[in-house]
Amino acid sequence: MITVERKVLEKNDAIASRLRQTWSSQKIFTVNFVSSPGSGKTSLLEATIRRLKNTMPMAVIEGDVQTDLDAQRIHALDVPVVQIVTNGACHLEAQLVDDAFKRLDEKNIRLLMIENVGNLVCPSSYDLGEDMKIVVVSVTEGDDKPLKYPGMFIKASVLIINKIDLLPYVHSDIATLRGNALSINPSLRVFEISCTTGEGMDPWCAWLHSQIKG
Amino acid sequence: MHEMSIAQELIRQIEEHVSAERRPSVRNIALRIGTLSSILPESLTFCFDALVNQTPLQSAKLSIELVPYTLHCTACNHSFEPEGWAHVCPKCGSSQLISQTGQELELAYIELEESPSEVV
Repeated sequence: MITVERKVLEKNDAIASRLRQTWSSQKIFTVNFVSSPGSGKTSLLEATIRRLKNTMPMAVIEGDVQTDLDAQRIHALDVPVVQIVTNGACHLEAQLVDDAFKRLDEKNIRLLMIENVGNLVCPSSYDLGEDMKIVVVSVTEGDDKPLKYPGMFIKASVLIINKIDLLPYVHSDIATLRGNALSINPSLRVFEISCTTGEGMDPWCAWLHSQIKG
Repeated sequence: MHEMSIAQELIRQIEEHVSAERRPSVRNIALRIGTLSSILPESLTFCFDALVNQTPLQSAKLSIELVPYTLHCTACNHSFEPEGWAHVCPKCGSSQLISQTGQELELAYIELEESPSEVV
């Protein structure tokens, strides 16, 4: 018998920890946005960039299974962006992010936003070296999402409830959604927003800005 | 469905620990998987079996120990498996809880079938 006692993802974790050290020494605050497909991560990035891009230098790493459509949307806002195309893989790994960060033309930044592949399961297993995971749930997905995917909600530090402008048209109850998420992870910081109307964007952007190092 | 890449990583680790000539004798690979690790044991086993098919590791089997989600109360030092998601210590009522187990994804040990020449 050979005793091993190793984490299966230790190679990923080692790269992530090196990235975390690099970003910390360069005073780059890094967030990893995770959610189901279609929750509005890219729209949230666009709305956030519009509000904050003149206050600090920032960059975006986009992850998708196919296409660079999201990178085009960020590029249109004149913010440095690199697209990762996973070609089928359901999550980003630290090595892919490391490669993408090397491809970024502008590294003198204060905020790095990583948009993970839309998936509430697999991305929760992979540390990317981020300061925190931000989980986005839209009200159209139902208020029981946190109970169905607890692994992601346990690992996240922030919950953004998106598309609150659609509440009159769906059966989701926002208090139930918030309560379900907080029962799984009582330390979650929660923001309720609509990228379409701009409601709730100011407190979210003010908080994000307050996290910037140095 | 990230079990395929996890199975690939697992095989890479096994190959680091077991020399090429001993790989056919690998019988059992013991893993510890937390119930909140977002890994499906059946799916991981399926992917592993598919990847080792017709390789020196093809007779290797995964044995998976599921590790329950447990919380530790920092107020009274009680450790427990929570029922549902209520974050309250059942012993002292405190909500100062930290998660203890349930996120594991670990390769514990590899069992080899000893060849007669190796048995002393």
